[in-house]
Amino acid sequence: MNDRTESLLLALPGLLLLVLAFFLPIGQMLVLSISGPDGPTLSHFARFLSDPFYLGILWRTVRLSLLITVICALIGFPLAYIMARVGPRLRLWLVVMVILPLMTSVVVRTFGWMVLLSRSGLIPELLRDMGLVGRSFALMQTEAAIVIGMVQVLLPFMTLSILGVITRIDGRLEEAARTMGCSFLQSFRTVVLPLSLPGIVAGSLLCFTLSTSLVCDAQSARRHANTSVGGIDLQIGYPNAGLAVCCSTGGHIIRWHPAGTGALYQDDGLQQWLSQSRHGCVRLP
Amino acid sequence: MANVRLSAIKKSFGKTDVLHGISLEVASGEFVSLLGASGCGKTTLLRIVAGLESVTAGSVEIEGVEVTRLPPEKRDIAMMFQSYALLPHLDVAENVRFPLRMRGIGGREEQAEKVKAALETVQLEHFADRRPRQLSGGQQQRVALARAIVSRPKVLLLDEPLSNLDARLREDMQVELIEIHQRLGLTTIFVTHDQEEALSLSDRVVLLNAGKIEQEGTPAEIYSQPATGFASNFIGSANLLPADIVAGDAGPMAKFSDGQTLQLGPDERVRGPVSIALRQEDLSLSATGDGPKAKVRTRVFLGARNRYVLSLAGEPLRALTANDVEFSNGQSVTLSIDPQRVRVLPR
Repeated sequence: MNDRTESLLLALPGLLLLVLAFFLPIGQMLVLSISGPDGPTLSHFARFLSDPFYLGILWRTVRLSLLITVICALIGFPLAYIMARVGPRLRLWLVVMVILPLMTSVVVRTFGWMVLLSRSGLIPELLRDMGLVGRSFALMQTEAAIVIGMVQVLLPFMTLSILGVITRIDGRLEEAARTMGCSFLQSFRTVVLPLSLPGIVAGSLLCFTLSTSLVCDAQSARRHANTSVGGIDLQIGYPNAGLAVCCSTGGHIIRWHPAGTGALYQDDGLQQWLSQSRHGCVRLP
Repeated sequence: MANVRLSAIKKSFGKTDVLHGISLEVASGEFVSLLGASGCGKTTLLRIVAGLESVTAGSVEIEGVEVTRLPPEKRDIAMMFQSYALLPHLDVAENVRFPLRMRGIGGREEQAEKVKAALETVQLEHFADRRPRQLSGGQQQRVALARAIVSRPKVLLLDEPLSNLDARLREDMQVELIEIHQRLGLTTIFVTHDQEEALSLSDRVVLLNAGKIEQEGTPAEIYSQPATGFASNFIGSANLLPADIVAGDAGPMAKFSDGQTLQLGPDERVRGPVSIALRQEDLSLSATGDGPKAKVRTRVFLGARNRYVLSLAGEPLRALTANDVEFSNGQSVTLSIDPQRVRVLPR
């Protein structure tokens, strides 16, 4: 057996899994999105792109994801730098602290934020007491709450991506920059920042894709109406950004009813698809 | 006038004392080597001059101005690192221009001219638009040198810059360093563990041992008159043999523990228990004759020379001979040495 077939055999199980669990359903979705009652059609796309409701959701998703990504980068880059430059023991503790939110259950995490952010929670209370905000001020169920919750969850992805790159930057480069007339901040800007760019880009891509799909906490934080494409995706119990996008591009949308009764509004296309693919998990608790 | 003045510099890392009160003056335009084994504190001392390390006690002055608490960028210095520390995301010309840009020296055109001149000095003018990783180790090293001299700093600090080069390149760079130093007259502090490098490059050698200055002087002084056992062992890797001084017919003699004696110079004044320092290149060996006898343990063929490891009074003794001098293992040979070349050090 030569090397080529050997590596092919080794890759086979992984490839098979990818094809079965990813490419096949995605392909099916794509086909579905252009199939109508009378053969192939682009009418689903036309409907999606002409309906201000869907476009609004898309825009909000992109806008929030960008904002979350930028905030993650602004917090994650200095944090990763500090983690890379401190001693190994302190670094370990910082890593544990950063990934702790990932290891906490969604429910616990969300209730934590409710304690802090709800109308009678710690932060609004404090702000009210200091006279900074009015009586009706609330953080829970606002976009700000979505952003705060998502930043907490996504920060590890950004921080660890950047950390990996910064630890590989030779510390003597910064020292050399200092001896050549750079202040600390200048050496940061002229040496560390350009050299850690690959990490920042990787982290940002991760954060952006994840935040377009992952809005668990956001949903609890902001309970009314559809907030984002990812939110819709979550509600049909299929946590995959790609599918969610296909889903919405295909025009198969369930809406979380604004009145909050838990009733589902579905359009015909989706119902048809759901019964076909036997994805029964449609309702959110 | 002293360009760099270090006064009673002490440095501790946690509970470990690295430097025990070092005072040193470097004159304007002087080339001084800090020589010592690894861990003796020589690099720490250099980093203190650069401002990359703080002092525990003592002060640093550059051109009469106290800079002890100033960060590196506020001191007019340039440092060349052992690893070169070229910025990988900038090309060669940008690397060399970096100190000019950061210190705001000259306009764009003036900077370009200075960069060109510096690259010509190290004969790399054709590599200006290459990235550092496209260059060989020797070329990277010259870029680092060009970058260090381009801004004409008050003090040039070199941290073992030649240790990553192969022997041939190192010799070339030594010559180049000497020439550049003569041409530019920059005050230079050079850190090395290689005694040959220190002796051949510098106006003055400062020998450091365990955070203290062991001896300082011109290369010739350090080589011919080592003041301590450490100095004579480190410089020229002399053999150190314990002995007593006894009176002989033709002046004082060294008596080894097995009773054999070695004639010393007539004006040797040191008395009592001593260490006798014998340079391996000063010893000559013969099969017969008067003088202390030693036993051959091994021969190491070095190409141009032979090194014999001998045993005298139970102590190992190394001697360099011409490559056609042949003795067999176990053979007894007679040592002879010019009495003037024997150093007697108090023990």
